[in-house]
Amino acid sequence: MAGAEGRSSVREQPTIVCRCMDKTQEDLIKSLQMAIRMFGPEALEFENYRRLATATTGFCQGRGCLSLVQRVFASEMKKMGIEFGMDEIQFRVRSPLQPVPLGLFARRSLEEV
Amino acid sequence: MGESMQDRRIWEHPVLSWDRGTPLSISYDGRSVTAYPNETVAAALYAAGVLAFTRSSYLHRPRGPFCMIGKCSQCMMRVDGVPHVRTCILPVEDGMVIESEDPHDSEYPTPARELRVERQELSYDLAIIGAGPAGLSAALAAAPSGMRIAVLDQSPYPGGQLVKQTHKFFGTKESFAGTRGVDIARNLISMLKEHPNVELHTTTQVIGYYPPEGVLIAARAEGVDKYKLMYIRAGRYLVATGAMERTLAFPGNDLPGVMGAGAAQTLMNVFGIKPADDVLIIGAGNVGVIVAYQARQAGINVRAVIDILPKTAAYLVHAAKIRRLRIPIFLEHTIKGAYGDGAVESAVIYQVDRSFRPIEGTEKELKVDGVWMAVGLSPSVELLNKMGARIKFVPELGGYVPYRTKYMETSVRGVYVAGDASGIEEASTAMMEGRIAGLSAAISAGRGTDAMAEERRKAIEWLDLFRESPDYRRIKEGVSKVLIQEAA
Ligand SMILES: Cc1cc2nc3c(=O)[nH]c(=O)nc-3n(C[C@H](O)[C@H](O)[C@H](O)COP(=O)(O)OP(=O)(O)OC[C@H]3O[C@@H](n4cnc5c(N)ncnc54)[C@H](O)[C@@H]3O)c2cc1C
Repeated sequence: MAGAEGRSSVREQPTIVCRCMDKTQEDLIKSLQMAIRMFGPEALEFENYRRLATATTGFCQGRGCLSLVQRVFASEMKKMGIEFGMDEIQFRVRSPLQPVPLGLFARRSLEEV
Repeated sequence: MGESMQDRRIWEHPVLSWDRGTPLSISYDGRSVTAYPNETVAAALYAAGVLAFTRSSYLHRPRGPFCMIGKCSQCMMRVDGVPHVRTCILPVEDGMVIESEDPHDSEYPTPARELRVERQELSYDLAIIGAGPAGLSAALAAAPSGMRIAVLDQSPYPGGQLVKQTHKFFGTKESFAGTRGVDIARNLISMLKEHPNVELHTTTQVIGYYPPEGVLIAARAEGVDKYKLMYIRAGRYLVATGAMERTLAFPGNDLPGVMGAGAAQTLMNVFGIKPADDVLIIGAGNVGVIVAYQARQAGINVRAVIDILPKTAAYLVHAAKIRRLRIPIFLEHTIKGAYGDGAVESAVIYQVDRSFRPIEGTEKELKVDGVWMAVGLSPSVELLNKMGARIKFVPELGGYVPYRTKYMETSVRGVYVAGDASGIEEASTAMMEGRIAGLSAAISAGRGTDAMAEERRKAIEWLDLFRESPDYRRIKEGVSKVLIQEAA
């Protein structure tokens, strides 16, 4: 039933950290390197990183992956001698908190405009 | 293509039965699928052997449901022309047309039908988000105050995680020992029905909160194309949104067939559907071993329950039950990867050393079509975050949780929290916290009675005592990190 294309071999499976945005462990490490170049290791905050990596920003709004993404962030930062304390949340999630049709908020259909 | 669909429904079970009613028919990618009135679309598809519901956005990987409670968004399909519908919380209707979506399609989504949206402005004294044990208990406790109360839940059936717990709880009498979770939920709901001042809204998802004047926005789905958009202003809010099951990072962790143990439980116990024939369960805590036992009852072969720790965190009674069934428990083991073409076909586990590093050469391959994750839950605090509540990372409580007073009020005045959303614990404490929060909402609004104040004092005392026991020390420690000290 699964289509043939895009199928990785049975034995070679990616490790997906964020399902919604389709980010693998390697993707996350790559965007961390980019984030560090942009912000500098000292100034880099999790929120900057999260936005750049786009992980945690999909349909589920990080419900499924936030803790995994943080773990990758913390362990990679640690390798550079920077302790990342996952203390207080520094970001606000956005509405809608659940995926709902855009039409809910539209006043008229395109034809009427 | 012409192949007939399977039927993964369980028709014989040692302790459960399902009153399925008259079958109806839905169409899935042009094929006809049998469904039953109490099922959700995702359940009916799973019963027919559909494992891959959608394709991932970039890597184009097949994906299937992970949570089955409307949180993971991996079950989205096009329903009657409406794109991106979460099928796990959508009740089936005869003749529904379900299509799998492909993000690489060139065709853009055009709803076949116009949405019908009715806007409502509503006001309540107390709005409770989540109708699990915490939310329901809160409503029950606050109801005698006469306040106008709304309980909102996105699921078609109230009760939260309790509805899938078919085992008898133990503990003290207050915590409903000896009663099955599903019956506790039923009791709470029927007691709630006796209060005309309480409205219970199911299939109603809370999608946002807008300060400063404070409007909670909820969408009540009545089918896929008809919605009530509710603008709710309430004197008090109580967030009891529960938690979401966690996963681990390993190759193949997104293959259809890899799902939360609670999701598997929903399929088996709520809908009577076998999610797999042979399964590997990751995590030998209470959830892992209970689900292993229930899987066996459902006729599923549990190939192994593994845990990275050297000893199981499960209550002895539960662990002994599965040992008696000769279900192998491998401690100090973890998963190396899940493999398969389009869905899980096998998994490899290996042993770890004292610092949790895998030991080469200890790999074991298991032929399984299910890998169930029982590795803990993360509190669902998105709404609280949106409402501006201060939130802190507390490992003892399962992740990010809000600061709260002993009355379960968060750092935002008039916003309360209870249950797993305030820290992962269990149904009994969720109910007690719900009671405390519900009573406090009433008391702080000047609607409490002396009896309610006394009930609250007792509930707080019970909770404190409960957490004194050695099993709950960690929780107590966690709570102390987010406790707001406040003059009563
Ligand atoms: C396999 C398993 C076995 C367990 N066994 C036991 C046991 O033996 N004894 C015990 O005491 N406990 C047990 N527990 C734990 C217990 O089930 C939970 O602690 C308890 O259900 C938490 O209650 P709650 O009301 O906080 O959350 P939940 O029960 O998760 O309810 C939350 C509700 O909020 C709704 N919701 C969430 N977000 C929104 C939104 N944005 N809009 C609208 N609605 C929303 C959800 O649909 C859900 O119905 C077990 C748990 C599992 C997974």
